[in-house]
Amino acid sequence: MIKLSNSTILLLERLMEQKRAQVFGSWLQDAVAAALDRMPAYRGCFANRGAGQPDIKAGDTGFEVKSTAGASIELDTNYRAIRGQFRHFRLIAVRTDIRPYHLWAIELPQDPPHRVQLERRMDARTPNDDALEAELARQLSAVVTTAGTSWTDARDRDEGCNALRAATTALQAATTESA
Amino acid sequence: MTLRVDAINLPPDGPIGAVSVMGLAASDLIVVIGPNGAGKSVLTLPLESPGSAGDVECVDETGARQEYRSRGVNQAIAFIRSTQLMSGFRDLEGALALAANATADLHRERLLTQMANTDLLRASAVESSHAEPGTIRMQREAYFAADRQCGQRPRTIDEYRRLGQALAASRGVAWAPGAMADADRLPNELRLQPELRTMQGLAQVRPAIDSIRTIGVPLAGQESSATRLGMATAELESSIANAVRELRIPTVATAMLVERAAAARTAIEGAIRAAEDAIAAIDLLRDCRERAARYIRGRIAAGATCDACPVCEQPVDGPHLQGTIEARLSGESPEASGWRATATRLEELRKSLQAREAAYGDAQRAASREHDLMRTAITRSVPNLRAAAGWAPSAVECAERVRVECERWLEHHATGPSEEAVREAQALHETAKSAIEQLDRESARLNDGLHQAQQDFQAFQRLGSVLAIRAAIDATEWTVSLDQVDAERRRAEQRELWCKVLRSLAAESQARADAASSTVVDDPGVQERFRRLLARLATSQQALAGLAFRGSSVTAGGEDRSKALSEGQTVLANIAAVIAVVGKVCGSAAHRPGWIVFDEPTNGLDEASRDAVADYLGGITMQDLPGQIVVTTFDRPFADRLIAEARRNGRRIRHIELPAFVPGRPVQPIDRVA
Repeated sequence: MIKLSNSTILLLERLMEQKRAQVFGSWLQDAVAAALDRMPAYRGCFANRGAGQPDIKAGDTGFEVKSTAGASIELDTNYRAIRGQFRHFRLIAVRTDIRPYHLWAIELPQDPPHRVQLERRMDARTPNDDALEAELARQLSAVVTTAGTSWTDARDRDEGCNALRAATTALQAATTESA
Repeated sequence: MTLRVDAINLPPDGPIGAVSVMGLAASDLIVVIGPNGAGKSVLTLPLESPGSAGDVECVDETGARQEYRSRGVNQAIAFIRSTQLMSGFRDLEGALALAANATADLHRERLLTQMANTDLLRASAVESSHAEPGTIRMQREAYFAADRQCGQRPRTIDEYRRLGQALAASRGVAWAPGAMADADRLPNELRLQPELRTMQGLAQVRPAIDSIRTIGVPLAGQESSATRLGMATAELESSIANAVRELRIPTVATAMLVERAAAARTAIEGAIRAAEDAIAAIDLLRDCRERAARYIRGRIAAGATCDACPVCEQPVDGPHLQGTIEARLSGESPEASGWRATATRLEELRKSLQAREAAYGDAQRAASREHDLMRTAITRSVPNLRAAAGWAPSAVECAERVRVECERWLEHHATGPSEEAVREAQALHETAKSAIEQLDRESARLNDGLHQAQQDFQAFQRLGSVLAIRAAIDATEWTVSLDQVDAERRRAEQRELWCKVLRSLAAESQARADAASSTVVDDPGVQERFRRLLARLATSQQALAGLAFRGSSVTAGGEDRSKALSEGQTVLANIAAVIAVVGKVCGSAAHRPGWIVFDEPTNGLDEASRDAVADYLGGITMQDLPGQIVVTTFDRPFADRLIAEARRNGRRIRHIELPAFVPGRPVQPIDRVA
C-alpha cells in the first residue's frame, strides 16, 4: 500500500468529480497503463480498452485495475480462468473512499479469492509488491501531473488518452535528453 | 381523588406581575375574559404547568387544601389549546395515553426516537480523520486554474527549463531554474521577459526627417505656385512686348519686369489720351461744319446771297460751298473712324496688361509663401540631422543622406521661388520618405520574433506557476491511518445498528401506547359519552350525527370523516372527544386535576360556529365531566352566550375580567356578576 502524491490525488479527485465512478475506472486504467509503459519491465504493455479481461497485458503479466470506494474488492469467478493464462497477475487497486488516495499492487495467486480485502498489511495469500507499488505510484504521478487538466478535462476517453500519450512522450524525451 | 382549583397565585416577577384569584373551588365554569395581551393565558398557565409560572391551590373532596404539583403528560389533558381543538384529533395522543395508563410507553418511545436521532450517534468521525489539509484546500483551485492555462503543454521541469533557456538565449543572458518558491522564481523568470528593442538615434532622426516629409511640397505632376509664377511672368512679358510693338516705345532691358510693365502701361495710357484728343478735335470740326452749313442754308433760304466766307470774309460761291460742306458731313470721316479703332485697341491692351500685372503679383506672393515654407522647414531640420555618438549606423546613414540634400537645396534656392527649387524639394521629400521607410523597416526587423517570444514567456511563467504550486502541494503532509479509518467505519456501522435497535424499540413502545390508547377509544364509557355529547348537536350539526371517536379520527360507518368536517365542527367534535376521554380518568390516581382549560376555543371560527361552541360548552354538565371547566377568551359575545347557556343549565359560574395590561401597573382582575 502506498499513498499517491497529493497533486496526483487532486487530479484524480477532479477526474472523479467530472466523470462518474464507472468512467473514472476506465480512465484510471488508461493512466495506469501509461505509467506501466514507462517502466522497463512493462514497456510496450497493451491496454485492453474493451470490457475484456485483463485490463492490461505486459508479456506474461496481466494487470487488473480497480478503483473502489470501500475496503474490499470482489473478484468474479472469471478471474480464476483468466489467472491461469498469466505467469503473474496483479491487481492494481485505488481506494477512493479514503483521502488521501492509496494504491495497492497485489499479486493474485493461481487460485484467487472471491474477495480481496485492502488492508495496510495484506495477508500472505494476496501479498502486495512494495517495489512495484513505489515505482508505479511514482510513474503514475509523473504521467498524471504532466498531463494535468488536459487529461482530467478531456472531452472523451480518446482525447484523454492523447493527453496521456503526449505526457509520456514529453517524459520520455526528457529522460533521453538527461541520459 | 379529584382536586378542584381554588386559587391561582402569579409571582411578582411573572409577565404581568403578582396576581391572585381566589375562591374558585365553588365554581363549575370559570370564564376569563380580556383583550389580547391582557394575560389570560398567563393567569391560567399554572393550571397546566404549576411552578415558576405560578401556584395553584386546590381543595379535595374532603375540603382539605393542597398545592397542585402534577407535571408531565397530565398537562396535555388539563390544558387544551385552540390549535389542538382544530387539529383534527391528532393532538389528543397524550390524553389518550394518559387515559390508557400508557404514558410510560409514550415517554419511552419519544426518548428512544430522540436517542436514535441524536447527532452524537449519527456523526461520522471518519470524515474528520482524513480531512484534506488546509494548505492543500486553499491551493486546489489555484493549481487547477494555473494548470488549465498550460493547455496541451507538458507540465514538467524539463519543459520549463527548455522554454527558459530558449528565452535566455534570445536575450543573450545565462539562466537556470532555481528554487520554485514564488519569491525566488518570479524575479528569476522576469529576467527573461522579452523587451521591445529600439534603434539608437531613431527617436531623434525620425522627427527631423518627418518634418522634411511634411513640408507641403506639391507632389510631382501637381502645379506648384512657382510654376504658376512662371506662367504669369511669361504672360506679362507678352503684354509688355505687345505694347512696345504697338506704341514703338523704347525698351529698357535691365529694368525689372514690374517697372517695365508700369512704363508700358503709362505709355498706353498716354496714347489712349492722345487718340481721345484727336477724336475730340474731329468732332469739334464736324460741329463747325454743321453750323456753317446751317448758316449758308439760312442765308440762301432767306434770299440773301452768300458770296463771302462767314469766317474769313473771303469771297466764296455760297451754293458750292454748301454742297462741299454737306458732302463732308455725310457719314463718319475715315480719320475719325481710324482714331476710334486705335483708342479701342489701346484700351484693350491696357486692360490686358493691367490684369496680367495683377496675376503676376498674386503668383509672386504665392510662390514666395511656398518657397518660404520649404526653406524654413529645411533650415530647421538641418541641425537635427547631424548624427550624434551612439546612433545606429542606419540612423546615421539616413540622417546624413537627407542632410546633404537639404544643404544643397538651401545653397541653390535660398534666394527665391523657382520651379527648379520645387523640383529639388520634391526630390528631397522622396529622399526623406525613403529614409523613413528604411528606418521603420530596420526598426521592425530588430523586433522580429518578439510576439513569439512573448507567447513563450507567458507559457514559461504559467508552467513555472503550476510547478511551484504543485511542489507546494506535494510538500504538504497529508496522511491517514488506514487502520483508524477502517476502525471508525466499523464503529459507524455499529452505531447504525444501535440506531436501528433504538428505532425498533421506539416503534414497539409506540405500538404499545397505541394499543393501550385504542383500549381507551374502544372503552364503552368513552364511546357512550362521545355519542351522547354529539347527540346534543344532532339537530344543528347534522354532519356530526352518528360519528364515532377513533383516537386520531372520527368515523361514520367505518369511514374516516375527519377531513369532511368544517373547522367549527372539528372544534365541537374535539371538545366532545376531550371530555369523553377526560371523563374516564378525571379524579383517578393517575390524573388528579379535576379541571380542564379551553384556551381561546373560538379562535378562527365564524359567528355561527362560535355560538355553537358557546352553547355546547355551556351545556356540559357535571354528569358529562365531574370537574371544573375553565375557558379563556377575548370574545365577549361568546363569553356572554356561554355564561347565559351555563346559567340556564344550573352551573355555578365565575366570570373574571382582565383589563388591558399596562406595564408597571398592577393587574386587578375584576369579578363580574355571572
